[in-house]
Amino acid sequence: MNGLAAIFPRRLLAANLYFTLIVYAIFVVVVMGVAVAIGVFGDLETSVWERAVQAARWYVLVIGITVVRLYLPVYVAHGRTRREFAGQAAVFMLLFAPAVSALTALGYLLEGLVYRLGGWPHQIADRHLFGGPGQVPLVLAEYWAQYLVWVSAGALLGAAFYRLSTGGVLLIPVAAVPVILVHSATDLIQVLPIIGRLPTPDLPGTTGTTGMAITAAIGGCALVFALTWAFIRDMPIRNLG
Amino acid sequence: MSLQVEVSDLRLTYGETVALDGVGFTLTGGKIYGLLGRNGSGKTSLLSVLGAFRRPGAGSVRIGGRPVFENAAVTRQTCLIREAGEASAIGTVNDALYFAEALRSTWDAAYAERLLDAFQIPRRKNVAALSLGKRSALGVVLGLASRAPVTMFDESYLGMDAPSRYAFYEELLADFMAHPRTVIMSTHLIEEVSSLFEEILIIDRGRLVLHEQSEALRGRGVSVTGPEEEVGRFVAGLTVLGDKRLGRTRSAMVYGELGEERRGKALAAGLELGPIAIQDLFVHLTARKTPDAGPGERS
Repeated sequence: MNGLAAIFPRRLLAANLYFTLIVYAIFVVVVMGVAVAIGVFGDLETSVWERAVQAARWYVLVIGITVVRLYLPVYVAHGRTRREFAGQAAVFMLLFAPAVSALTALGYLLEGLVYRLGGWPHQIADRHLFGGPGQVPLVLAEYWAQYLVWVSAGALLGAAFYRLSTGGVLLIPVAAVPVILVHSATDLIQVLPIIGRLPTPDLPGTTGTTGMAITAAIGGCALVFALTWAFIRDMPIRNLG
Repeated sequence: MSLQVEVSDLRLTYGETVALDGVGFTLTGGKIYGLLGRNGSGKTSLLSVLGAFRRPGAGSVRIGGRPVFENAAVTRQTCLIREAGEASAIGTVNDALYFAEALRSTWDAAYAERLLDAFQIPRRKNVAALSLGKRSALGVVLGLASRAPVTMFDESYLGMDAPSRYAFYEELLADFMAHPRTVIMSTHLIEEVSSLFEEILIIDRGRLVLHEQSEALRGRGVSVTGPEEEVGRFVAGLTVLGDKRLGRTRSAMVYGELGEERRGKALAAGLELGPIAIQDLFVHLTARKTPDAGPGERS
């Protein structure tokens, strides 16, 4: 197997994207249904998709957890080393985050069509890197940055809980740091309201630059990858039962 | 392909608990090995280290002359199967095979399909929703179809009904004959499967108690059958592992080899001598209060 084929997580990506597309299709139908219901029976003035996307972040976190928890034992059982797994898992997360951000951007576009048909104003309510749902490159940048830190935080927590059992709870604040940093550069207040009540004008997020978000995402992701590797490099595969 | 397995002074602990304590042996490879031991004796721990599931605490484990842990060239050639081959949470049976095919360069997909049919494993069903027996059977499929030069099954019969177990043994033997490799099986069902083993290792309380050819092991004991009084006189002073009686006929299982002189006396007394069940020897060798476990059992 050559270098690229050895590190490209073809089946890991295919399996998770296939499942994600199924979940996404259901999610889109439900969210659009809610939007139409609000439009018909009430006042629809802002994007429902913008609010609903919070569920996508948690979904991405769970995917990060399962990548380590479910697939590391499978890889080792099939004769792969932890190093090989870590390489493929890292590439998977680097590709999965932009894929889900593309689906998120597509969701805004689909929602825009629905709103146009209903004659409702399609606008966002909260502060973002983008000024409106039609600014696709900025939508992609914001959600890519967010999903990258959420999925890598999931991998760290998956590794920590697998190795330490309940002791993994100690890693939650560590995993949260890059997430908070990225959200402070994008949409801190509405996603994490408790932290949003801190003196945010002094935080980088209040200026909300794309460069800040990308830097925070890459830096945070690198830090979390390094910590995750520290956990899994010699992690025992648990005995059953 | 035969790969030699060398284990030297292997030690593994879980906190305060010593799971493996100075285990050492060499398997020349190309055989089916039986790994026997009581619950908690260290069988799973030993296989976990051989399969690179765990890093050894101390000592060394080498396969084909190379260390195992995090050595891709070696782990590619090993396969450790516990229950469903770690695929219990991965999704459906098809998903489990999907990843096996991708990750195992030696994977035999056609053989896996045939085995799925043989064990009647539904392909679209979630692995976690399968019965324990079917999950074990899936593990057997993943292990056999891996075609790994060193394939290990850790109590892979769990939950399988008798026809499935016998199907597993038949498949294992047939595949071993067609594609010779090193197979290590841990089991409690000793009598059911012992005929497959060419060599047997017995582990107890984290230590290797015995490593011997199966035939030689059987020769370590003798069953003496005949009239009750004659058998009683003959076995007096010997280590008797167990007795069976039917009317006035008694069959006593004796530990230790009989010399030619004793064998002659037995025949002269009209007693029948036969092989002893490996399970009886196993019970004797791993008994918690055994005054004499026999000489030279450490290898």
